[in-house]
Amino acid sequence: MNRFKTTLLTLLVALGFAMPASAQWGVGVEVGASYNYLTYDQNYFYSLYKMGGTGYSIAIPVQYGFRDWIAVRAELAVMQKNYGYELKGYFDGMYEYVRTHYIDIPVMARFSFGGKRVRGFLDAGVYAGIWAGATKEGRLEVSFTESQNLTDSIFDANDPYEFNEPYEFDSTRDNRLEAGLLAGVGIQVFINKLVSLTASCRYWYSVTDIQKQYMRNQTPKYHNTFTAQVGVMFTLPQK
Amino acid sequence: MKKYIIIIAIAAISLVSCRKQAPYLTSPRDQHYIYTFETIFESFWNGMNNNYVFWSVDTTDWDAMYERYIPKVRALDEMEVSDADELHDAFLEFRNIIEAMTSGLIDGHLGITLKTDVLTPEESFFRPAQTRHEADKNYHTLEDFNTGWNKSLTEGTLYKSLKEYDNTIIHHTPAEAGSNPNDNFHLGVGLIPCADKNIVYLRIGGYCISTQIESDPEGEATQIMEKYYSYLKDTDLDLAGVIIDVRNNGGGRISDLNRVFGKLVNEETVFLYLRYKNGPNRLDYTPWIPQTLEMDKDRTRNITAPIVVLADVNSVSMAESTCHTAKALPNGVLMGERSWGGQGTLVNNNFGFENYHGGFIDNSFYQIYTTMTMSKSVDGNCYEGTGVKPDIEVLYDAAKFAQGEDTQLQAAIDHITQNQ
Repeated sequence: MNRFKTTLLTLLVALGFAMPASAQWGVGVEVGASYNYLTYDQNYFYSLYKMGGTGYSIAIPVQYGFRDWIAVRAELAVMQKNYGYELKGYFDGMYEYVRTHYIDIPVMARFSFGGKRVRGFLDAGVYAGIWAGATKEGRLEVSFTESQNLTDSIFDANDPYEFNEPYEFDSTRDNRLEAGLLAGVGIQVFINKLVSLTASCRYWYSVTDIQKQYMRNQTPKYHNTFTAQVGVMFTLPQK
Repeated sequence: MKKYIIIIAIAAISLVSCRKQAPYLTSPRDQHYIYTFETIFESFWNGMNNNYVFWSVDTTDWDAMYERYIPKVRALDEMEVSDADELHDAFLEFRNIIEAMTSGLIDGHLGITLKTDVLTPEESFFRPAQTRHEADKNYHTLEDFNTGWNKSLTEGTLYKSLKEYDNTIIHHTPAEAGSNPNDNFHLGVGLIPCADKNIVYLRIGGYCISTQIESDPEGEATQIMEKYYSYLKDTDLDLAGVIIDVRNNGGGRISDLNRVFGKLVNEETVFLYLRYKNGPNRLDYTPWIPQTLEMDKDRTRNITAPIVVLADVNSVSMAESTCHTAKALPNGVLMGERSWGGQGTLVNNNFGFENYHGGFIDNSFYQIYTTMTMSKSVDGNCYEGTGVKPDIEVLYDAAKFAQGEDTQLQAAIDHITQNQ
């Protein structure tokens, strides 16, 4: 985390040296979809087949343009970072799926290029956020309904247990805070001088484990999130 | 501009490396080529670290155990061994280290075997829960109970109480009777008159009813259970209550529970919750899964009379699931002693890992007999290691029981009589 803070400070200082020539404020709204998966080394737990998950993303961006090619941008973003696992073969049909809701504040530099009406842009920055809530759904088996007859499937021998319930946070285990890097690419189309439409894709690379460090030889788990969003940006008129 | 890009690129690269490296974990179930005390210790410690299911409630500081004992294990590897006696002493010291490290673990099923010819069978195997129970001055052995119970049946309390009784011997494996004396269990059913009604008495010495019925569908186990069902279904038989006696019962088949309670529950009943591992870290768990008893389709009546489950300190595993059932039933009562404290479910082979991602481990060097599921009662508490506390405590009276006077059974009969 110390390295993260140092890097964030370096980034902000670097941006601060950009000389404003046609500084402009903008505010907007963006909506889109997310696709997330957890990165972790399964080692010998290979029968847990990892699943990615899709969800939504909503953001309110605020942008300050130093020049026409560089701006700094911050957002208040709410997004889902969903993930799960499934079993296969005899245990086909058994799975767990976690829907997590994060409130993230990304801060990034936006480098734009192109003409006056249509411009492309690249985003690079960092984010920090909080795991606001989660639900868990899935299908597992009820052990006490076991039948000793040979079957082709776990659910021929055992009753299924289907669930969709609030995720129980564990204060020893669960890390409610997250941070990471992001990079994105997109296109901006100016309807007029003050209103523009945007479409972009972004990759969120978490550097914080979703679990606190509570044991020796712990396997860390990290979110990797892709978002695709469309939005509208309102450039505030200059005095 | 180039300067800023370089700064940002360096910052990004440094942040990317913030992700921690995962430990390299080898499956303890596949390890067959480890040759030093240290490598066995590492395998054992990591095997428990990733597969033991009770870390959320067990107070043993497993990290501290590693730090405390790894220096001693390394010292064993550095010892010079010149004869068989010194080799034996080294292995015994290693065994004592493992025993000390696991002595506080709450899993009531936990049994550890070190697979070596250097130690005697008695030295190679230990059960932390057994050691703890035997240290209790009130502990009574399986053999003591069997002696007393047989005397009660032939001339004591049961003999005087029962007006009819049928029984047989059942086994965990469909083997010939007498092939393993420790694997033979009493299954019996009878009626105890109570005023102008009857108490149905079911004695289950071990939960292998399904095994016997499946191996011999027309056999004695089937006949005993059919007799039990006939009592419960006979609407002309006035029921004062039911006594399910699971004292001295070490558990067995989970499918037996519905055979026993299917006609006693008046609706689908949740009696227990189970969860198990879904990842390598200690606190990677599935949600709690409710375990239910189903009503038998051929029930003929709702049974509202008292259902007494009689348990003692040697009631383990499925016998403790029976204790939980008594707590879950509206007319259930648990009497006797606090049970053993081994309430998880398990399979005794490595294949259980494919579903439960924890539990039993067997390799060339050791075996860890540990459950793959963790349980909690309908009251929301986990009683692993502590046992299920009876609603009405009736302690074992060794002197009287040795003479055939079963004070615990008499208390159950008296309770039913008083609650008519």
